[in-house]
Amino acid sequence: MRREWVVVGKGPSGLLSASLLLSAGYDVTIVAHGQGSFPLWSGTLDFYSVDQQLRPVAHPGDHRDLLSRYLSYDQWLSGWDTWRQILASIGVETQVDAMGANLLSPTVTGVLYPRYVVPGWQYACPVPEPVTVVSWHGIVDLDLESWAARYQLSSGLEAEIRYRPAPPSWSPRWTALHWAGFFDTEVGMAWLEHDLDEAAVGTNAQYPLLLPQVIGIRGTEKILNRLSLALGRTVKEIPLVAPALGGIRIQERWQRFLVRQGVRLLTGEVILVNNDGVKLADGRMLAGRTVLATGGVLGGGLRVNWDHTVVNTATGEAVLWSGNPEDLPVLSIGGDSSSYDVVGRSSGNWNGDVHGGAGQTLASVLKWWYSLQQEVSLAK
Amino acid sequence: MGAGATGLGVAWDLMLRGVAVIVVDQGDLAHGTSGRFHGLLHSGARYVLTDAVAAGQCQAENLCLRRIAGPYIEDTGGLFAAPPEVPDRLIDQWKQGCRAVNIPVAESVVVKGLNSRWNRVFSVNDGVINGYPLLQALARGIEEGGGRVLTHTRLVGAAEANGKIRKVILESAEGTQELAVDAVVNAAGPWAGEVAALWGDPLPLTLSRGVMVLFSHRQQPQVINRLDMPGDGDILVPHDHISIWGTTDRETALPEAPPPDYQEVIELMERGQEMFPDMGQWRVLRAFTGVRPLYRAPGSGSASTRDISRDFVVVEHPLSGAFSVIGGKWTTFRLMAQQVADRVAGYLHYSTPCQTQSHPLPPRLESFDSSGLAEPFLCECERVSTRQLQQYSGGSLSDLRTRTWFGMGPCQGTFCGHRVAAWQSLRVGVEQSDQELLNFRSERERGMLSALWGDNAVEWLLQRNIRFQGLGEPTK
Repeated sequence: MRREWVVVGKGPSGLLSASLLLSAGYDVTIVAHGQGSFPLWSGTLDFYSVDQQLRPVAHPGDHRDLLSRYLSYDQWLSGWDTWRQILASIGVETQVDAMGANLLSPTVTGVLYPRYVVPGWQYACPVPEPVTVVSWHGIVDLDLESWAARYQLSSGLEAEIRYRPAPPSWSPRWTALHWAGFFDTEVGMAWLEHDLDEAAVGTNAQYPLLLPQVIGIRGTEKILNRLSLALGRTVKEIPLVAPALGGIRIQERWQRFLVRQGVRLLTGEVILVNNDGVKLADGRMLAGRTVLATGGVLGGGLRVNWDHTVVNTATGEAVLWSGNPEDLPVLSIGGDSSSYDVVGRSSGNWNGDVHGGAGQTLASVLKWWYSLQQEVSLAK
Repeated sequence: MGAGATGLGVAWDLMLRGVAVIVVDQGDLAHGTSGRFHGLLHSGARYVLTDAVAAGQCQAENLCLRRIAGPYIEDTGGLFAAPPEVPDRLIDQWKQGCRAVNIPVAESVVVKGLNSRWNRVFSVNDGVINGYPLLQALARGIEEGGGRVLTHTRLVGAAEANGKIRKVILESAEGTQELAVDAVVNAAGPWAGEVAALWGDPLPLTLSRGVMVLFSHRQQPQVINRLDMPGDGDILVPHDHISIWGTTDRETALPEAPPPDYQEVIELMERGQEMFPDMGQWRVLRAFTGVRPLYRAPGSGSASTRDISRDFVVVEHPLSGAFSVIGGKWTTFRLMAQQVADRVAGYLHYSTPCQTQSHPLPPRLESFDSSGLAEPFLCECERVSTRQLQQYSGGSLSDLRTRTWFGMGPCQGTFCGHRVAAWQSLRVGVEQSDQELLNFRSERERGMLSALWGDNAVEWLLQRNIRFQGLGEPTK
């Protein structure tokens, strides 16, 4: 078995593959052209389907049909622990429901949404509870009045809301990243602590206090803990839409961890893959067995042309598409005779919009990993 | 009946003659064909080889609209480029045709991006019509002149007395109402047949659909036409910071515009790449269909008085006071309105002559100045802020979209749809704004799906990801 591996793509599937390879002592190079899908992702592991009343099914044990395309139920359960351990090793603690069911976590529009594994900074609860939400003028994705009305609709419970003026240094150009950068500074932290002191006056201290997901990039947990202590109540975040701080935090920490452990992280556009490795657009060759985690059409691993031909951008191979838009998210690449392995979105079968996002990352990477281990033990 | 260019044009004309008018539309302004066109202000050069009368009318109206509707016309100029297979004989014939109806033609330099073999290029005075603002101005002018414009209102019946139309019955979300009328002008475009059927004289309409593909960026500064006999895929029209490529001509069954047929889009793109070889790489935004109402030549034995022109038709129905107008082009909407209004005014015994050749349209509302605004944009692509939305607080989400242009940029509402809906929910409640958001999403999605390639395919998947995994919008 070769010791060198090339992982193409630095989204969740790419980094998870790299982590598993690293843990088994392989020599790993990650090469990516795009940013990866972390900034589209709050960091939760979803995995759900809906019952006949279109209500989310609540327990992973109810997903055997979908799961069996990838993993046995036992593999899934242990894989779940693997996922949590890997996140913990890069410094991201997670929450799960003790009974193995979904946690409920509200979206930025106030819809309660089922999630399995939720990063520690994000608000999630086993059963709905009344909440207090504080936000600042200028965070346009979180419209508090509308949020509270929808939260009331989806949970039947109250949401107290407090709109606060933006900090003095705010400008209309601030994105979530500017806010987060501000709160990572001493000045920002002091302003936040003082502002929440005022905002919390007259709210119910029994309710958890929720903030938009802009509370720092590097110092998030530290800030949230400090606020929880100061206010004497749970303080957590509601994820916004892209750019999603949750995914960005995880990507930063994960990449830093892998690089510290000796993984090479290169920027480059793969244009050819064969049994020796990959060739980049700038002429460089990287030797190793290759796994493509290039993310389908959304991630840039596939390109759709005006005449509806589809191309695997890393290999130039044509990919068959029916022309039906619903099939676009589940196109798959590779196969038994391919000179590369495939994980993530391009492994097909799983439409994240229907079955939950990120679940496919875990299921497809683990499936690949288990079969690789089998290959290794056979070789021995 | 119908708040498109024809209906509003007729109402505007009659109002200026002193007639009290009410305009009714089942949707928003420009709900039908008028909101689904390429926006070309014809010089007439497109028609000189096939229809000199129409060409001459276009040229005259082109100059007239520049006078009376200046703020709504963009003087881009237009080019005609001949593909290599077009014989010199045809080009000469085209140039003579232009001269015959006073269309100014000049040799032009070669256009960047154009197929290098298309090296015979001529300039004409084509332009671009800003359709929505123009129609919004007409509606405003009609209301300021004492008329009324009722949108989201359907005509469901008509009542007569002594062979004359006397009443119309209208239905809207507020309920049913009856209006006493002396005359009705059916300018319902593709729906004109259904409207005329309400007074028992259905019209022989044939409907034709045309597909257009919309690209991001102003790919060319001018209108570019294929110099040839008119056909599919031969006009590129720049609009602000987008471009529209069109169009096709296929018979279609229903007045409601169908989603573009993919094969038609492919053919349009193939045709486009003859003219602009790199069109397949342009950033596509969406494709859409418009439906043209065409008048089928009447059979014998009709009791109606029918006045047939080559371009549009005015029908006086057996029921006195009921008129229909069918066909026509955006460029000549004023002329058409004049001819309809002449007939209606005559019927009503109004002697004031038409004013519209010289009466300027109401001035354009100052475009919203967002510079220096201390608030963020809800729609970043089109720079629409809450302050701007507040100017139109009465409208539906779709009305807000055509007034502020939110959700029309490259992301097609991915990042602003939920924001504007949240703002709207404070006025109409969460449940209604959710429904309006769903309508907005499916309308935007329909256009994106019709041109699902390149970055637009990526954008569509991003939009789905954000809607279903991020926002928790319902998947069904």
